[in-house]
Amino acid sequence: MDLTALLLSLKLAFATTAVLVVAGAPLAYALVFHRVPGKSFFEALINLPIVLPPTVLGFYLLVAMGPRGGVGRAWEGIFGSPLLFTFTGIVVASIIYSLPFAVAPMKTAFLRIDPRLVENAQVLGLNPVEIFMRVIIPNSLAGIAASAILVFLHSIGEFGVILMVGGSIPGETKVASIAIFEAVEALRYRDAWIMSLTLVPVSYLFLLLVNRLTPEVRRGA
Amino acid sequence: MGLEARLKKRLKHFELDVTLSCPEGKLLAIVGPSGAGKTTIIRLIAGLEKPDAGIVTCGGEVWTDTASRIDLPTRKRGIGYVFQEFTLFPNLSVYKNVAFAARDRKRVEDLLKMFDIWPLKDSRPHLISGGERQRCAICQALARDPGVLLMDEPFSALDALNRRRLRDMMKSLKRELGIPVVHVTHDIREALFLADDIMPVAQGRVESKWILQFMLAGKDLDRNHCQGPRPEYADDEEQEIELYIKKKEYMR
Repeated sequence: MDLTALLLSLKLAFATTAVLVVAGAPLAYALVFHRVPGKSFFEALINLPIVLPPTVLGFYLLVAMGPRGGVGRAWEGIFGSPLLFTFTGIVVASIIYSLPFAVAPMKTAFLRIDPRLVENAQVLGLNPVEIFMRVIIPNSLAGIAASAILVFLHSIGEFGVILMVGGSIPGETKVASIAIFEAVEALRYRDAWIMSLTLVPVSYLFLLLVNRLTPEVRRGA
Repeated sequence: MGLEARLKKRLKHFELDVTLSCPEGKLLAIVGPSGAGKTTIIRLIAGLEKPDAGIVTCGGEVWTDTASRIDLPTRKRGIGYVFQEFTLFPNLSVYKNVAFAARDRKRVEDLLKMFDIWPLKDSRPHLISGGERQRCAICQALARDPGVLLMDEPFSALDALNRRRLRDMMKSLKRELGIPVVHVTHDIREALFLADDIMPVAQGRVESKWILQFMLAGKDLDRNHCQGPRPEYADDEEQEIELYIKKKEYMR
């Protein structure tokens, strides 16, 4: 069994989840509560990874993050190292790929908040940032937890996009799903079986853990 | 100085067009049937909605002036607003709800004791009764020492006993507060009991006194008709109302 690949998958999932929970919440807040110019255009763009084949998204990311692509060139200019075929590269790709899975549950949770609570906060003198921190976040913990679970598990299961952007470099970009694919290709079915079976309880345990930590989820609120 | 407003706004079924004035230490009741535009009026004063045209000033400060494109954000207006129901923060205790925007802790404690909910300070809003929740909401609005208090049918979801208790409390409190209080209600007797001045509204306009007569006859008006049960009042309240009517000569 390729333990390194399994640990790399967990590391990728943690990194993606951390970034998307922090960045997705204000994005969902702006989409729900504020007038953003070109909102529907922007929302369709966010949701594009849901409908695009991962290889198509991966291909565009490969081009954009490559040495001739705008993102890749800018990255190299700032950090002095390439983005493609690195762990950071697959984290960036994973963030874009999982963005809709972070934003959608948060939007649903924010929409469930009584608008009068937000109006009451305005009346009580809170600015939009304070409303977000003191009213929206504490009253949508269940939705944020659901979003984190989805992003985490979605990141563990990623394959096509990672393969395109990261290749298969052991310890750097070779995550569990790619290791399983390679084991099957090399007819090492035993390895594939073990790793596949490992992913099931890992995923299940994380779902259970977040459920236990979030009373709102347990109550089904 | 007090609160002055001249407001125009096109609504779905009619155009709202009212002028109102409420001095400091006085309570203005806006009465009228459901759908008359009462709530919209105080939402416009609070800045929660924008008028098509109009001016709102409070204590000499201009909050809204459509002609000069002045529109002070709601959070900067320093108002207390008591909604009809369900606006306490469900994740916070009664104490933390009241302290949410309070200037000092002593004020929070005083208000909770004054409104008799100090023993409930650690309870969450969903664990207390409707009457207790509304008392908490009033404390929350008052805790930041607002310049104006706006109340949108704050007692309408309560039972008769709680309604009466809160009305009594508000009646004695309005003098102490010394700020303009605008109270929206569809209950004319509540308005007569509490108010220094009454503004009857129907279809978005300040209507002549016949609405008061209709409503006093025990008929709550809906959009087009007069119907509904007559609210129950104790004898001393009836006397007070009669006295007020005579004083204001609304029944001539």
